[in-house]
Amino acid sequence: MEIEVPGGSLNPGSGESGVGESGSEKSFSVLQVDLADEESERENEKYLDEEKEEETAEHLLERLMQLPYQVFILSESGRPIFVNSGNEEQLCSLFAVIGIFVERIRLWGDNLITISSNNKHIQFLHKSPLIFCIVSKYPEKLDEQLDVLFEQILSILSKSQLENVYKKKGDNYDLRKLLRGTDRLIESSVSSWRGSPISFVDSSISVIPMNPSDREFLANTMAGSLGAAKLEGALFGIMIAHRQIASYVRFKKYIMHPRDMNIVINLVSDKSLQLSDASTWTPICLPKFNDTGFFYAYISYPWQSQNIPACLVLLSVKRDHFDGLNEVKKSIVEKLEGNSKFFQNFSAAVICPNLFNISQIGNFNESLWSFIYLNHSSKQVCISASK
Amino acid sequence: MSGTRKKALLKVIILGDSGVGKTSLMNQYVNRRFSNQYKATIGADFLTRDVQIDDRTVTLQIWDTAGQERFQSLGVAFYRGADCCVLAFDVTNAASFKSLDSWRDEFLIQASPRDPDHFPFVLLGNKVDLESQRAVSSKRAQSWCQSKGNIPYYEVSAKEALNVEAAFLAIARDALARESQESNDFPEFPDQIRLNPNQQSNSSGSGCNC
Amino acid sequence: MESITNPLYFFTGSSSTQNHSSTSSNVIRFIDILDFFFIAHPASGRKEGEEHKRIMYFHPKGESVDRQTEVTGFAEAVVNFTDNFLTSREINSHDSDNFDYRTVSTQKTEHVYIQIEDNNFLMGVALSKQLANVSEYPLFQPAIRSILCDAYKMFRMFFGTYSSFNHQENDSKFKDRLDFFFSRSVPLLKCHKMPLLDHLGGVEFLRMSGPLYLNVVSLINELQEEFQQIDKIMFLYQDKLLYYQLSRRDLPTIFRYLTQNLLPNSIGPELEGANNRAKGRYLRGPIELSTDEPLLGDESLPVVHLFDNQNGEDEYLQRYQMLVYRCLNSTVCMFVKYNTENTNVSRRLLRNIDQFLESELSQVANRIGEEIGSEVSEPTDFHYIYFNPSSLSMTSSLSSRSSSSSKVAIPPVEVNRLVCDTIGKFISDSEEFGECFVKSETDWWIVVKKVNSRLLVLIIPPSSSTSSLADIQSKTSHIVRHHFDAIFFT
Repeated sequence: MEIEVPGGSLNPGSGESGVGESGSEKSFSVLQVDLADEESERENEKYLDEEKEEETAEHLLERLMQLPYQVFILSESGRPIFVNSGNEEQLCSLFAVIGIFVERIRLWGDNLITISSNNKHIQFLHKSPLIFCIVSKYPEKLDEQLDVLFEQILSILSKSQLENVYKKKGDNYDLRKLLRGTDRLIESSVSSWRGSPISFVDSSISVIPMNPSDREFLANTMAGSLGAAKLEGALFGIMIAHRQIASYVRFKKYIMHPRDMNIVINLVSDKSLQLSDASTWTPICLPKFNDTGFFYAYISYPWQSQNIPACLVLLSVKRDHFDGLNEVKKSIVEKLEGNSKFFQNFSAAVICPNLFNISQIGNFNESLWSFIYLNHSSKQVCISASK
Repeated sequence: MSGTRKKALLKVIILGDSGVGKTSLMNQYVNRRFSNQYKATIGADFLTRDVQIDDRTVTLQIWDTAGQERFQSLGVAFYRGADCCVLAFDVTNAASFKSLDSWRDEFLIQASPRDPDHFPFVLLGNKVDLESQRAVSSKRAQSWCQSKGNIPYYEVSAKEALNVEAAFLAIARDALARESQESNDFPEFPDQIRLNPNQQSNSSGSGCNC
Repeated sequence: MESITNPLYFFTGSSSTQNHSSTSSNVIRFIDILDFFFIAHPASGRKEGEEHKRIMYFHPKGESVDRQTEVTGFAEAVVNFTDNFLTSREINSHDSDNFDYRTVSTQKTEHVYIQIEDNNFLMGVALSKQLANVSEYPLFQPAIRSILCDAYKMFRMFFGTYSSFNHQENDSKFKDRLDFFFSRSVPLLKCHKMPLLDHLGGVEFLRMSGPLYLNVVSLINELQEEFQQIDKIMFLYQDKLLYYQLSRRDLPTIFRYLTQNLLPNSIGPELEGANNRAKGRYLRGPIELSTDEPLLGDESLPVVHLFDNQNGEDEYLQRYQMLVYRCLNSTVCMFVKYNTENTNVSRRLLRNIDQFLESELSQVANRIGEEIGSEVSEPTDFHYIYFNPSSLSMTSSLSSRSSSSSKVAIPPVEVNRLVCDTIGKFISDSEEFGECFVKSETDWWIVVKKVNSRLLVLIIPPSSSTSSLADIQSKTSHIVRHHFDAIFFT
């Protein structure tokens, strides 16, 4: 099993074996790691080669345009960085045109926002040194999708690194080298956004339905263990399942923006991190919190072997907190499992999450079909099943 | 897919007076993918061509620019971030040869590459099939190339696609060699966050919250 | 500029047009928010160094050729670029007058480009967001597109298609015509502050009793029987339509020309000669009908290009001479096929038609006047837009020439914008039914009902009696019952 995570990754090994060396600098090396499964890589290349021979670029484009959307990321000099179909090379002249359009309007002292025709909508976002573009059948909220995409890139590189890289390496630098291995995360940041009902509401997070007393026990347990560890700089704890949060605890005075939360959710939802009996320690920039520095995320799926898809994420600003947070996790898991009634309910809730029931807001109105509830201060969203 | 090593991609810009035959040269060299006559509208055609260097595939993103003053306002956008610049002139047209200096200077000023003295240029002398009308000898072209730091020179024509291939192959090979000389990407440590609780806006929640 | 043989019957006396629209606060001048307007023929600019030759017309005139070339080039590039993302089926679907279009939105401007005449020509317009703000005009892309398409159709009605100019050989004549027409028409273009009205682009019909309507129809039948040269007829009372035989493609264009240009300019003389009002007259063409002199120069009749499909096949453009005869408040517009041989409308024909209509028309007009006068329409306490796409019938309290009034002041710009957004985002073009209730932040209610493709938009000002959704639902059904019963639910 291999891992790929943004900005490099470290798998401290299965079970306890990684913990011993976790204090050393070496074990936190965050250089680029490219650990693709060799066999699957070969298959990929073979597949691509076949595809290239059989498919002209025009056919490729025709096929891609059947898809609901296409995302392009490029440098200001028109150099391809990402396209969600993975065909940057074949589409590279298209990238150049996108770059020139943005530049053309900029030279007129203006900013290009959208181009559309009868049934295609193209949104642009220029965040120097990058240009983002999405082509979609539907016009809704494309601007926010590009913001999400931009912040996903920032979460991998941070704003300061992104801004410096072209200065240091020259305008012809190929940013794909730095983003290697993160295509899947970039892709899922938009696809999950589009696929989720939370996209109805700006920057929100959706909450997994749970019994309130169970949720309270979960939060108190997480808060208690995290607080007791007295790790200065360990700020947040989140329990996630199915891209929804079961509970979120935070250290005094610090809050996590929903968009940052969604970046964390997107990261831990990547299949490569869903390891049983293992934890992952990875740097991640949360741009709404701080776009120049990195958090370190302790990620574990404590009950993966029991097919309970809950993920515990603990975030610290200190890169030497792995051991401490590993202890916090053990404490949390122990306490949660110790309450068998809770644990039974919790497992049921995350294994097969129910949508909120309409009866939960009363049955006074027979014509009520469905509801969406947004808490403005927490930005948490609840969505009911339809009647 | 995410682990697949990306193909190298090079931005190549083609400059030269209008009428030296850049477009027809490119037409025989590349598939006209999505180019749609952008030259007349936004000042350049954008072409794609894969070349094979040993076991690696390199994609060339070729910017074939209009040799017109009219689109010069976009110059920086065209030139910026180029990996290589192809200069083209017409061997039967001495004026197009004389313009090379200004095209080269223009490029270096606008693109402002990191190492202007060693930036890779290639010179193409086109229309060598019209030998009887030749106005620029190959010797003269070669000595110009020498004076600019040994720019490679290729004589080409609409019938001699072979040399065009050779020129682009050389471009790709040269760029790959440069790339391998580049030092490691980002041996740096990510910046750590310095916490300043006062900057975090917050309600006065007690301890942890959910 | 070369002189044009037709009399300059369009857009004379622009100032009087302006004065006429007494409710001018319903509209703004297009030119006041205009950034640029162009017509390009891309094929003419394909050669390197000759890119500027694609520019056929550009406003503002003072713009540098470089800037004109950039603007038209960018527009063409946008068309090509978006073609990449359309499946080939989508690209080839440009039938009749549903022009293929592109829109570009920048921080400062809204652009619309339309491709016309088999994509051989590109027309474009950009409006300034800042100027639109100043004019309290909510920019709505579909309305801008309609205005642009209408500008083209108006040109086509008077001069024929762009392609008919054979511009390869005769570029300068084509450019002169474009300049002649658009330099005059663009400054006169108006935009409704409720952009939906420009977008829907319907015509206002006069509602009248069945017997009276039959009266009009039989008059028209008799007229056509008596004078078989007359191919098409259109009948208006004041500035409302009663009857027409034109293609629906032409109807809004010619209706707009008559009600906004020709009729307002002839109101003046009518008022002066009050004692002679029952006497009919031609609004264009010769004044002196008693001789048999040929109609030349100022006396010749206007020629318009209209769609004809009388043999049941595809519509094609055909030239007609237009005769506009007015008596009291009634206008009969007659179209006679025009050909270059000597079979055109003569002074004698005009004289005979005049003799026929003189008595008949004034009688009908009097009866219409009586019926209209007896109807007292009280001002409403809401605003409305009604549109039936199958008849193109439109009526609105927000129209610039509306006789139906509302007590309510014009809705603020953000409410008008919300109406457009609601229609654009929540009411599907292709669906025949739909309903939507929207409350603005300032407590205006917007109700959209679509039944059998007929569209009703109600804009209801804040009031204590309309605070809940239930209130507004009952208010809506009350309004429909009392004001739209006859036309809305059949």
